[in-house]
Amino acid sequence: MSFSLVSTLLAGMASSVFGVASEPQGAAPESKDRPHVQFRIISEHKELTPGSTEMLGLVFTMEPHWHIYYKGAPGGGNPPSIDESSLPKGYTLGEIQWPAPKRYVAPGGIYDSVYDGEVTLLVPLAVPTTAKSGDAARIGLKLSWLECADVCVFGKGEDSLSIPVGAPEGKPARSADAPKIEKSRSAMPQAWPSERATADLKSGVLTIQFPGAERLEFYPGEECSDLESPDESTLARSNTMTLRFADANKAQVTAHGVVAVWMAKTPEPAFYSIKKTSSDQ
Amino acid sequence: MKRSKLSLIALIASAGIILPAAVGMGSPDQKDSKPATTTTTTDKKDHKDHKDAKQTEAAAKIGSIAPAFTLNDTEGKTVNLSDFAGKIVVVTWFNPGCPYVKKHFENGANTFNDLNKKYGEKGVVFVAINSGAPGKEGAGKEANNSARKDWKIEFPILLDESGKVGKLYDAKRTPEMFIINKDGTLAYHGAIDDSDKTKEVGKTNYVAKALDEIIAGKPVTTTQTKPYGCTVKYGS
Repeated sequence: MSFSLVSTLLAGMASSVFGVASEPQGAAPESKDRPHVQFRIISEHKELTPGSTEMLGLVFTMEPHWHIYYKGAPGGGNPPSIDESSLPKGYTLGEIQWPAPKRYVAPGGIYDSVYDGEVTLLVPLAVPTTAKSGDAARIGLKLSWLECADVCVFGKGEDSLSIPVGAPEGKPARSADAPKIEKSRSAMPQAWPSERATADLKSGVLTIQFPGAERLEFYPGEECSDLESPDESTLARSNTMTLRFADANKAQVTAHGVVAVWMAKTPEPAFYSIKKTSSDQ
Repeated sequence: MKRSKLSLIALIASAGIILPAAVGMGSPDQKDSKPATTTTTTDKKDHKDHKDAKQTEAAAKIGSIAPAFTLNDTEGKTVNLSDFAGKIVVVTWFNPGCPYVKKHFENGANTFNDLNKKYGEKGVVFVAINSGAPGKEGAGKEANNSARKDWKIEFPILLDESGKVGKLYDAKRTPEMFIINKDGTLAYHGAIDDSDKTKEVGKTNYVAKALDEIIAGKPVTTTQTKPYGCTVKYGS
Protein backbone atom coordinates (compact mmCIF):
# COMPACT_ATOMS: atom_id res chain seq x y z
CA MET A 1 0.00 0.00 0.00
CA SER A 2 2.63 2.45 1.13
CA PHE A 3 4.97 1.23 -1.60
CA SER A 4 2.38 1.83 -4.26
CA LEU A 5 1.64 5.28 -2.81
CA VAL A 6 5.34 6.15 -2.89
CA SER A 7 5.77 4.81 -6.39
CA THR A 8 2.73 6.78 -7.50
CA LEU A 9 4.20 9.91 -5.95
CA LEU A 10 7.56 9.24 -7.54
CA ALA A 11 5.98 8.54 -10.87
CA GLY A 12 4.03 11.77 -10.53
CA MET A 13 7.18 13.73 -9.70
CA ALA A 14 9.11 12.09 -12.49
CA SER A 15 6.43 12.80 -15.02
CA SER A 16 6.13 16.41 -13.90
CA VAL A 17 9.88 16.90 -14.16
CA PHE A 18 9.86 15.15 -17.50
CA GLY A 19 6.93 17.29 -18.52
CA VAL A 20 8.78 20.51 -17.79
CA ALA A 21 12.00 19.37 -19.41
CA SER A 22 10.37 18.23 -22.58
CA GLU A 23 7.50 20.64 -22.96
CA PRO A 24 7.93 21.21 -26.68
CA GLN A 25 7.63 17.46 -27.25
CA GLY A 26 4.35 17.56 -25.43
CA ALA A 27 2.75 19.29 -28.41
CA ALA A 28 -0.64 17.72 -28.92
CA PRO A 29 -1.49 16.34 -32.33
CA GLU A 30 -4.13 18.23 -34.36
CA SER A 31 -6.87 18.24 -31.79
CA LYS A 32 -10.25 19.83 -31.65
CA ASP A 33 -9.99 20.14 -27.90
CA ARG A 34 -7.07 22.50 -27.90
CA PRO A 35 -7.24 26.20 -28.72
CA HIS A 36 -5.90 27.17 -32.14
CA VAL A 37 -6.47 30.87 -31.71
CA GLN A 38 -4.84 33.07 -29.05
CA PHE A 39 -6.35 36.36 -27.91
CA ARG A 40 -4.84 39.36 -26.11
CA ILE A 41 -5.65 43.01 -25.45
CA ILE A 42 -3.37 45.85 -26.55
CA SER A 43 -3.60 49.63 -26.28
CA GLU A 44 -2.43 52.28 -28.70
CA HIS A 45 -0.69 54.42 -26.08
CA LYS A 46 1.45 53.72 -23.06
CA GLU A 47 -0.79 55.90 -20.89
CA LEU A 48 -4.45 56.87 -20.81
CA THR A 49 -5.47 60.51 -21.01
CA PRO A 50 -8.42 61.55 -18.80
CA GLY A 51 -11.39 62.75 -20.84
CA SER A 52 -10.12 61.19 -24.08
CA THR A 53 -10.78 57.99 -26.00
CA GLU A 54 -8.05 55.38 -26.09
CA MET A 55 -8.05 52.79 -28.86
CA LEU A 56 -7.76 49.23 -27.63
CA GLY A 57 -7.01 46.30 -29.90
CA LEU A 58 -8.23 42.72 -29.57
CA VAL A 59 -5.45 40.73 -31.20
CA PHE A 60 -6.28 37.24 -32.47
CA THR A 61 -3.33 35.09 -33.47
CA MET A 62 -4.32 32.01 -35.41
CA GLU A 63 -2.39 28.88 -36.20
CA PRO A 64 -1.88 28.21 -39.90
CA HIS A 65 -5.09 27.12 -41.68
CA TRP A 66 -7.36 28.26 -38.86
CA HIS A 67 -9.68 31.22 -39.23
CA ILE A 68 -12.27 33.20 -37.31
CA TYR A 69 -15.31 34.97 -38.72
CA TYR A 70 -16.15 38.51 -39.76
CA LYS A 71 -19.36 39.86 -38.26
CA GLY A 72 -21.05 39.84 -41.67
CA ALA A 73 -20.08 36.28 -42.60
CA PRO A 74 -23.15 34.93 -44.42
CA GLY A 75 -23.84 31.90 -42.25
CA GLY A 76 -20.64 31.35 -40.51
CA GLY A 77 -20.66 31.12 -37.00
CA ASN A 78 -19.91 33.42 -34.25
CA PRO A 79 -17.58 36.27 -34.93
CA PRO A 80 -15.77 37.25 -31.73
CA SER A 81 -18.04 38.80 -29.11
CA ILE A 82 -17.26 40.37 -25.75
CA ASP A 83 -19.16 38.26 -23.22
CA GLU A 84 -17.92 39.97 -20.08
CA SER A 85 -15.95 43.10 -19.40
CA SER A 86 -14.48 44.43 -16.21
CA LEU A 87 -13.62 48.13 -16.29
CA PRO A 88 -12.85 50.71 -13.63
CA LYS A 89 -15.79 52.93 -12.65
CA GLY A 90 -16.64 55.58 -15.24
CA TYR A 91 -14.83 53.85 -18.13
CA THR A 92 -16.92 52.64 -21.08
CA LEU A 93 -16.18 50.48 -24.10
CA GLY A 94 -17.56 51.34 -27.54
CA GLU A 95 -18.61 48.97 -30.30
CA ILE A 96 -16.08 46.64 -31.93
CA GLN A 97 -14.72 48.09 -35.19
CA TRP A 98 -14.09 45.41 -37.82
CA PRO A 99 -11.31 45.70 -40.39
CA ALA A 100 -12.03 44.31 -43.85
CA PRO A 101 -11.96 40.49 -43.84
CA LYS A 102 -10.82 38.00 -46.49
CA ARG A 103 -12.95 35.82 -48.72
CA TYR A 104 -13.03 32.13 -47.95
CA VAL A 105 -14.71 29.55 -50.13
CA ALA A 106 -15.12 26.09 -48.60
CA PRO A 107 -15.62 22.98 -50.77
CA GLY A 108 -19.13 22.99 -52.21
CA GLY A 109 -18.86 26.69 -53.02
CA ILE A 110 -19.79 27.86 -49.51
CA TYR A 111 -18.75 31.46 -49.04
CA ASP A 112 -17.69 33.13 -45.79
CA SER A 113 -15.78 36.26 -44.82
CA VAL A 114 -12.99 35.45 -42.40
CA TYR A 115 -9.74 36.53 -40.76
CA ASP A 116 -6.64 34.35 -40.72
CA GLY A 117 -3.04 34.75 -39.55
CA GLU A 118 -3.43 37.70 -37.22
CA VAL A 119 -6.15 40.30 -36.94
CA THR A 120 -6.70 43.20 -34.57
CA LEU A 121 -10.29 44.25 -33.91
CA LEU A 122 -10.53 47.76 -32.51
CA VAL A 123 -12.55 48.82 -29.47
CA PRO A 124 -12.60 52.44 -28.28
CA LEU A 125 -12.28 52.95 -24.53
CA ALA A 126 -13.73 56.19 -23.16
CA VAL A 127 -11.57 57.40 -20.28
CA PRO A 128 -13.54 59.54 -17.78
CA THR A 129 -12.37 63.07 -16.98
CA THR A 130 -12.30 61.92 -13.36
CA ALA A 131 -9.55 59.36 -14.07
CA LYS A 132 -6.70 60.13 -11.69
CA SER A 133 -3.21 60.62 -12.99
CA GLY A 134 -0.89 58.03 -11.46
CA ASP A 135 -3.62 55.39 -11.11
CA ALA A 136 -3.71 52.37 -13.37
CA ALA A 137 -6.86 51.23 -15.15
CA ARG A 138 -7.31 47.47 -15.40
CA ILE A 139 -9.30 46.35 -18.43
CA GLY A 140 -10.46 42.74 -18.27
CA LEU A 141 -12.35 41.07 -21.12
CA LYS A 142 -13.81 37.63 -21.77
CA LEU A 143 -14.50 36.77 -25.39
CA SER A 144 -15.93 33.85 -27.33
CA TRP A 145 -15.85 33.03 -31.03
CA LEU A 146 -15.96 30.18 -33.53
CA GLU A 147 -12.63 29.01 -34.92
CA CYS A 148 -12.45 26.73 -37.93
CA ALA A 149 -9.97 24.96 -40.15
CA ASP A 150 -11.51 21.98 -41.89
CA VAL A 151 -13.25 21.43 -38.56
CA CYS A 152 -14.82 23.99 -36.24
CA VAL A 153 -14.43 24.56 -32.51
CA PHE A 154 -15.93 27.12 -30.16
CA GLY A 155 -13.05 29.25 -28.93
CA LYS A 156 -12.86 31.47 -25.89
CA GLY A 157 -10.29 33.60 -24.22
CA GLU A 158 -9.75 36.15 -21.52
CA ASP A 159 -7.09 38.74 -20.97
CA SER A 160 -6.54 41.83 -18.92
CA LEU A 161 -4.38 44.87 -19.39
CA SER A 162 -3.39 47.52 -16.84
CA ILE A 163 -2.72 50.92 -18.34
CA PRO A 164 -1.37 53.81 -16.25
CA VAL A 165 -3.36 57.07 -16.31
CA GLY A 166 -1.29 60.05 -17.45
CA ALA A 167 -1.80 63.79 -17.21
CA PRO A 168 -5.15 65.32 -18.32
CA GLU A 169 -3.59 67.26 -21.20
CA GLY A 170 -0.86 64.72 -21.79
CA LYS A 171 0.39 63.43 -25.11
CA PRO A 172 1.32 59.86 -24.15
CA ALA A 173 3.85 57.90 -26.16
CA ARG A 174 2.62 55.18 -28.49
CA SER A 175 2.88 51.65 -27.19
CA ALA A 176 5.00 48.96 -28.80
CA ASP A 177 1.75 47.41 -30.09
CA ALA A 178 0.54 50.63 -31.76
CA PRO A 179 1.53 49.42 -35.28
CA LYS A 180 -1.03 46.60 -35.00
CA ILE A 181 -3.75 49.16 -34.29
CA GLU A 182 -2.51 51.34 -37.13
CA LYS A 183 -2.59 48.37 -39.53
CA SER A 184 -6.14 47.56 -38.53
CA ARG A 185 -7.22 51.19 -38.94
CA SER A 186 -5.90 51.21 -42.49
CA ALA A 187 -8.19 48.24 -43.26
CA MET A 188 -11.32 49.99 -41.96
CA PRO A 189 -13.79 50.77 -44.74
CA GLN A 190 -14.12 54.38 -45.86
CA ALA A 191 -17.21 56.16 -47.17
CA TRP A 192 -18.15 55.17 -50.73
CA PRO A 193 -16.31 57.51 -53.17
CA SER A 194 -19.36 58.48 -55.23
CA GLU A 195 -17.33 61.07 -57.15
CA ARG A 196 -15.32 58.37 -58.91
CA ALA A 197 -17.31 55.15 -58.66
CA THR A 198 -20.93 54.01 -58.95
CA ALA A 199 -23.00 51.45 -57.06
CA ASP A 200 -26.52 51.03 -58.43
CA LEU A 201 -29.17 48.79 -56.95
CA LYS A 202 -31.95 48.05 -59.44
CA SER A 203 -34.42 45.15 -59.56
CA GLY A 204 -32.47 43.13 -57.02
CA VAL A 205 -29.12 43.56 -58.77
CA LEU A 206 -26.25 45.66 -57.40
CA THR A 207 -23.85 46.86 -60.08
CA ILE A 208 -20.56 48.30 -58.92
CA GLN A 209 -18.37 50.16 -61.39
CA PHE A 210 -14.99 51.39 -60.26
CA PRO A 211 -13.00 52.96 -63.14
CA GLY A 212 -9.31 52.09 -62.96
CA ALA A 213 -9.80 49.03 -60.75
CA GLU A 214 -8.52 45.62 -61.83
CA ARG A 215 -10.00 43.55 -59.02
CA LEU A 216 -13.06 43.98 -56.78
CA GLU A 217 -14.21 41.90 -53.85
CA PHE A 218 -17.40 42.25 -51.81
CA TYR A 219 -17.75 41.17 -48.20
CA PRO A 220 -21.43 41.05 -47.20
CA GLY A 221 -22.34 42.94 -44.05
CA GLU A 222 -24.70 41.94 -41.28
CA GLU A 223 -27.75 43.49 -42.89
CA CYS A 224 -27.04 42.25 -46.41
CA SER A 225 -29.80 40.27 -48.13
CA ASP A 226 -28.81 36.82 -49.40
CA LEU A 227 -26.72 36.85 -52.56
CA GLU A 228 -26.96 34.37 -55.39
CA SER A 229 -23.76 32.31 -55.75
CA PRO A 230 -21.69 34.54 -53.45
CA ASP A 231 -18.70 32.22 -53.97
CA GLU A 232 -18.43 33.52 -57.54
CA SER A 233 -20.25 36.84 -57.62
CA THR A 234 -18.31 38.53 -54.81
CA LEU A 235 -15.08 38.47 -56.80
CA ALA A 236 -14.53 40.38 -60.07
CA ARG A 237 -11.22 40.49 -61.91
CA SER A 238 -12.25 43.72 -63.58
CA ASN A 239 -13.63 47.14 -62.67
CA THR A 240 -17.25 45.94 -62.67
CA MET A 241 -19.06 43.68 -60.24
CA THR A 242 -22.62 42.40 -60.55
CA LEU A 243 -24.27 41.07 -57.41
CA ARG A 244 -27.68 39.40 -57.68
CA PHE A 245 -29.80 39.05 -54.60
CA ALA A 246 -31.52 35.74 -54.00
CA ASP A 247 -34.73 37.32 -52.80
CA ALA A 248 -34.97 39.86 -55.60
CA ASN A 249 -38.68 39.20 -55.91
CA LYS A 250 -39.24 40.53 -52.42
CA ALA A 251 -40.23 44.12 -51.87
CA GLN A 252 -37.01 45.17 -50.22
CA VAL A 253 -33.42 44.18 -50.78
CA THR A 254 -30.52 45.53 -48.73
CA ALA A 255 -27.05 45.68 -50.22
CA HIS A 256 -24.73 46.09 -47.26
CA GLY A 257 -21.06 45.37 -46.98
CA VAL A 258 -17.51 46.31 -47.79
CA VAL A 259 -16.00 46.60 -51.27
CA ALA A 260 -12.27 45.97 -51.61
CA VAL A 261 -10.77 47.75 -54.59
CA TRP A 262 -7.41 46.93 -56.17
CA MET A 263 -6.47 49.72 -58.52
CA ALA A 264 -4.21 48.77 -61.43
CA LYS A 265 -0.56 48.46 -60.37
CA THR A 266 -1.42 48.88 -56.68
CA PRO A 267 -0.67 45.89 -54.45
CA GLU A 268 -2.83 46.91 -51.49
CA PRO A 269 -6.59 47.30 -51.79
CA ALA A 270 -8.67 50.21 -50.51
CA PHE A 271 -11.90 49.44 -48.64
CA TYR A 272 -15.24 51.21 -48.98
CA SER A 273 -18.63 50.70 -47.30
CA ILE A 274 -21.84 50.26 -49.20
CA LYS A 275 -25.35 50.34 -47.81
CA LYS A 276 -28.33 50.62 -50.11
CA THR A 277 -31.88 49.37 -49.97
CA SER A 278 -34.11 48.83 -52.99
CA SER A 279 -36.39 51.62 -51.78
CA ASP A 280 -33.48 54.06 -52.43
CA GLN A 281 -34.34 53.78 -56.11
CA MET B 1 5.68 29.15 -20.81
CA LYS B 2 5.60 31.60 -23.66
CA ARG B 3 8.48 29.79 -25.27
CA SER B 4 6.78 26.43 -25.04
CA LYS B 5 3.65 27.89 -26.65
CA LEU B 6 5.73 29.17 -29.52
CA SER B 7 7.36 25.79 -30.01
CA LEU B 8 3.93 24.23 -29.99
CA ILE B 9 2.74 26.59 -32.69
CA ALA B 10 5.91 25.94 -34.69
CA LEU B 11 5.34 22.20 -34.47
CA ILE B 12 1.75 22.49 -35.56
CA ALA B 13 2.81 24.85 -38.31
CA SER B 14 5.25 22.32 -39.72
CA ALA B 15 2.67 19.55 -39.39
CA GLY B 16 0.22 21.82 -41.15
CA ILE B 17 2.27 21.75 -44.34
CA ILE B 18 1.42 18.10 -44.84
CA LEU B 19 -1.98 17.90 -43.23
CA PRO B 20 -4.00 20.35 -45.32
CA ALA B 21 -3.06 18.68 -48.59
CA ALA B 22 -4.17 15.38 -47.17
CA VAL B 23 -7.60 16.57 -46.13
CA GLY B 24 -8.19 18.98 -48.97
CA MET B 25 -8.26 21.93 -46.63
CA GLY B 26 -8.07 25.38 -48.09
CA SER B 27 -6.79 28.52 -46.51
CA PRO B 28 -8.25 31.86 -47.45
CA ASP B 29 -6.19 33.70 -49.96
CA GLN B 30 -6.64 37.23 -51.15
CA LYS B 31 -5.65 36.30 -54.67
CA ASP B 32 -7.43 32.98 -55.05
CA SER B 33 -11.10 32.57 -54.66
CA LYS B 34 -10.92 28.84 -54.00
CA PRO B 35 -9.06 26.64 -51.55
CA ALA B 36 -5.47 26.39 -52.64
CA THR B 37 -5.43 22.62 -52.84
CA THR B 38 -8.22 22.50 -55.41
CA THR B 39 -7.07 22.99 -58.97
CA THR B 40 -8.93 25.48 -61.11
CA THR B 41 -9.89 22.90 -63.70
CA THR B 42 -11.48 20.51 -61.23
CA ASP B 43 -13.08 23.42 -59.58
CA LYS B 44 -14.79 24.70 -62.68
CA LYS B 45 -15.94 21.24 -63.64
CA ASP B 46 -17.42 20.58 -60.21
CA HIS B 47 -19.16 23.84 -60.21
CA LYS B 48 -20.57 23.25 -63.65
CA ASP B 49 -21.86 19.88 -62.51
CA HIS B 50 -23.48 21.59 -59.59
CA LYS B 51 -25.17 24.11 -61.87
CA ASP B 52 -26.22 21.37 -64.31
CA ALA B 53 -27.74 19.39 -61.50
CA LYS B 54 -29.67 22.47 -60.52
CA GLN B 55 -30.98 22.87 -64.04
CA THR B 56 -31.94 19.28 -64.75
CA GLU B 57 -33.38 18.48 -61.34
CA ALA B 58 -35.38 21.23 -59.71
CA ALA B 59 -33.54 22.75 -56.75
CA ALA B 60 -35.20 23.30 -53.40
CA LYS B 61 -37.40 26.39 -53.44
CA ILE B 62 -40.14 27.50 -51.06
CA GLY B 63 -43.56 26.54 -52.49
CA SER B 64 -42.08 24.18 -55.10
CA ILE B 65 -41.90 20.39 -54.95
CA ALA B 66 -38.88 19.44 -52.82
CA PRO B 67 -36.17 17.54 -54.73
CA ALA B 68 -36.50 13.75 -54.56
CA PHE B 69 -33.73 11.76 -52.92
CA THR B 70 -32.75 8.16 -52.26
CA LEU B 71 -30.01 7.60 -49.67
CA ASN B 72 -28.86 4.88 -47.33
CA ASP B 73 -29.08 5.37 -43.60
CA THR B 74 -26.35 4.37 -41.14
CA GLU B 75 -27.84 0.87 -40.87
CA GLY B 76 -27.66 0.40 -44.63
CA LYS B 77 -31.40 0.80 -45.16
CA THR B 78 -32.44 2.70 -48.27
CA VAL B 79 -34.63 5.70 -47.60
CA ASN B 80 -36.54 7.44 -50.34
CA LEU B 81 -38.28 10.78 -49.86
CA SER B 82 -41.27 9.29 -51.66
CA ASP B 83 -41.58 6.72 -48.82
CA PHE B 84 -43.10 9.57 -46.83
CA ALA B 85 -45.58 10.77 -49.45
CA GLY B 86 -48.54 12.49 -47.79
CA LYS B 87 -46.60 13.20 -44.58
CA ILE B 88 -44.86 16.30 -43.27
CA VAL B 89 -41.10 15.66 -43.43
CA VAL B 90 -38.46 17.59 -41.48
CA VAL B 91 -34.93 17.30 -42.88
CA THR B 92 -31.89 18.56 -41.00
CA TRP B 93 -28.38 18.71 -42.40
CA PHE B 94 -26.20 17.02 -39.85
CA ASN B 95 -22.59 16.63 -38.71
CA PRO B 96 -22.00 15.14 -35.25
CA GLY B 97 -18.60 16.87 -35.07
CA CYS B 98 -20.01 20.36 -35.57
CA PRO B 99 -20.26 22.34 -32.33
CA TYR B 100 -23.53 23.96 -33.50
CA VAL B 101 -25.06 20.51 -33.85
CA LYS B 102 -23.56 19.36 -30.56
CA LYS B 103 -25.05 22.25 -28.65
CA HIS B 104 -28.50 20.85 -29.45
CA PHE B 105 -27.64 17.49 -27.87
CA GLU B 106 -25.41 18.43 -24.94
CA ASN B 107 -25.54 20.45 -21.70
CA GLY B 108 -29.18 19.63 -21.13
CA ALA B 109 -30.31 20.54 -24.65
CA ASN B 110 -32.16 17.91 -26.67
CA THR B 111 -33.68 20.03 -29.45
CA PHE B 112 -33.79 17.52 -32.31
CA ASN B 113 -34.87 14.55 -30.22
CA ASP B 114 -37.57 16.65 -28.55
CA LEU B 115 -38.86 17.83 -31.94
CA ASN B 116 -38.84 14.27 -33.25
CA LYS B 117 -40.74 13.00 -30.21
CA LYS B 118 -43.29 15.80 -30.03
CA TYR B 119 -44.11 16.04 -33.73
CA GLY B 120 -43.50 12.35 -34.47
CA GLU B 121 -46.60 11.66 -32.39
CA LYS B 122 -48.48 13.93 -34.77
CA GLY B 123 -47.28 11.99 -37.83
CA VAL B 124 -44.32 14.20 -38.76
CA VAL B 125 -41.27 12.34 -40.14
CA PHE B 126 -37.82 13.50 -39.08
CA VAL B 127 -34.62 12.63 -41.00
CA ALA B 128 -31.05 13.90 -40.84
CA ILE B 129 -28.74 14.02 -43.86
CA ASN B 130 -24.96 14.12 -43.56
CA SER B 131 -23.31 15.36 -46.78
CA GLY B 132 -19.79 15.12 -45.37
CA ALA B 133 -17.35 13.55 -47.83
CA PRO B 134 -15.38 10.45 -46.77
CA GLY B 135 -12.61 11.44 -44.36
CA LYS B 136 -14.18 14.75 -43.43
CA GLU B 137 -15.26 15.69 -39.92
CA GLY B 138 -18.31 13.74 -38.74
CA ALA B 139 -18.70 11.87 -42.04
CA GLY B 140 -19.42 8.19 -42.56
CA LYS B 141 -21.36 5.34 -41.06
CA GLU B 142 -19.27 4.89 -37.92
CA ALA B 143 -19.27 8.49 -36.67
CA ASN B 144 -22.99 8.86 -37.28
CA ASN B 145 -23.88 5.54 -35.72
CA SER B 146 -21.92 6.57 -32.62
CA ALA B 147 -23.78 9.87 -32.56
CA ARG B 148 -27.12 8.07 -32.78
CA LYS B 149 -26.11 5.89 -29.86
CA ASP B 150 -24.49 8.58 -27.71
CA TRP B 151 -27.24 11.13 -28.26
CA LYS B 152 -30.09 8.57 -28.25
CA ILE B 153 -31.22 9.67 -31.70
CA GLU B 154 -34.21 7.71 -32.97
CA PHE B 155 -34.52 9.31 -36.40
CA PRO B 156 -32.40 8.01 -39.29
CA ILE B 157 -29.21 9.72 -40.39
CA LEU B 158 -28.88 9.42 -44.16
CA LEU B 159 -25.41 9.43 -45.69
CA ASP B 160 -24.88 11.63 -48.75
CA GLU B 161 -21.13 11.26 -49.14
CA SER B 162 -21.13 12.48 -52.75
CA GLY B 163 -22.87 15.67 -51.59
CA LYS B 164 -25.36 15.41 -54.44
CA VAL B 165 -28.49 15.75 -52.32
CA GLY B 166 -26.95 18.51 -50.22
CA LYS B 167 -26.17 20.54 -53.32
CA LEU B 168 -29.62 19.91 -54.75
CA TYR B 169 -31.09 21.40 -51.59
CA ASP B 170 -28.33 24.04 -51.52
CA ALA B 171 -27.58 23.05 -47.93
CA LYS B 172 -24.59 25.03 -46.67
CA ARG B 173 -24.61 24.72 -42.88
CA THR B 174 -25.11 22.23 -40.10
CA PRO B 175 -27.72 22.35 -38.77
CA GLU B 176 -29.78 23.61 -41.73
CA MET B 177 -33.48 22.82 -41.70
CA PHE B 178 -36.03 22.02 -44.39
CA ILE B 179 -39.73 21.26 -43.88
CA ILE B 180 -41.52 19.45 -46.68
CA ASN B 181 -45.31 19.73 -46.52
CA LYS B 182 -47.80 16.88 -47.04
CA ASP B 183 -48.14 17.83 -50.72
CA GLY B 184 -44.38 17.53 -51.21
CA THR B 185 -43.72 21.27 -51.43
CA LEU B 186 -41.03 23.01 -49.43
CA ALA B 187 -42.61 24.94 -46.56
CA TYR B 188 -39.57 26.14 -44.61
CA HIS B 189 -35.85 26.51 -45.16
CA GLY B 190 -33.41 27.97 -42.67
CA ALA B 191 -32.10 27.90 -39.13
CA ILE B 192 -33.34 25.63 -36.35
CA ASP B 193 -33.83 28.58 -34.01
CA ASP B 194 -32.97 32.20 -33.36
CA SER B 195 -29.72 31.75 -31.45
CA ASP B 196 -26.43 31.45 -33.28
CA LYS B 197 -24.68 31.70 -29.91
CA THR B 198 -22.14 29.06 -29.01
CA LYS B 199 -23.92 27.65 -26.00
CA GLU B 200 -27.51 28.70 -25.69
CA VAL B 201 -30.41 27.25 -27.61
CA GLY B 202 -32.74 29.84 -29.13
CA LYS B 203 -36.00 31.00 -27.59
CA THR B 204 -37.90 30.70 -30.87
CA ASN B 205 -37.61 27.36 -32.64
CA TYR B 206 -38.55 28.18 -36.23
CA VAL B 207 -39.18 24.53 -37.10
CA ALA B 208 -41.59 24.00 -34.20
CA LYS B 209 -43.35 27.25 -35.07
CA ALA B 210 -43.76 26.29 -38.73
CA LEU B 211 -44.89 22.75 -37.83
CA ASP B 212 -47.51 24.12 -35.41
CA GLU B 213 -48.83 26.36 -38.16
CA ILE B 214 -48.90 23.60 -40.79
CA ILE B 215 -50.64 21.16 -38.42
CA ALA B 216 -53.21 23.85 -37.53
CA GLY B 217 -53.89 24.32 -41.24
CA LYS B 218 -52.46 27.85 -41.21
CA PRO B 219 -49.96 29.32 -43.65
CA VAL B 220 -46.33 29.33 -42.44
CA THR B 221 -45.49 32.88 -41.41
CA THR B 222 -41.69 32.52 -41.47
CA THR B 223 -40.73 30.42 -44.49
CA GLN B 224 -37.08 31.40 -44.67
CA THR B 225 -34.41 32.33 -42.13
CA LYS B 226 -30.66 32.49 -42.34
CA PRO B 227 -29.21 29.14 -41.27
CA TYR B 228 -26.29 29.35 -38.87
CA GLY B 229 -23.66 26.75 -38.18
CA CYS B 230 -20.59 25.02 -39.56
CA THR B 231 -20.15 24.60 -43.28
CA VAL B 232 -21.36 21.29 -44.70
CA LYS B 233 -18.15 19.29 -45.20
CA TYR B 234 -18.51 18.66 -48.93
CA GLY B 235 -15.68 16.92 -50.75
CA SER B 236 -15.64 19.43 -53.58
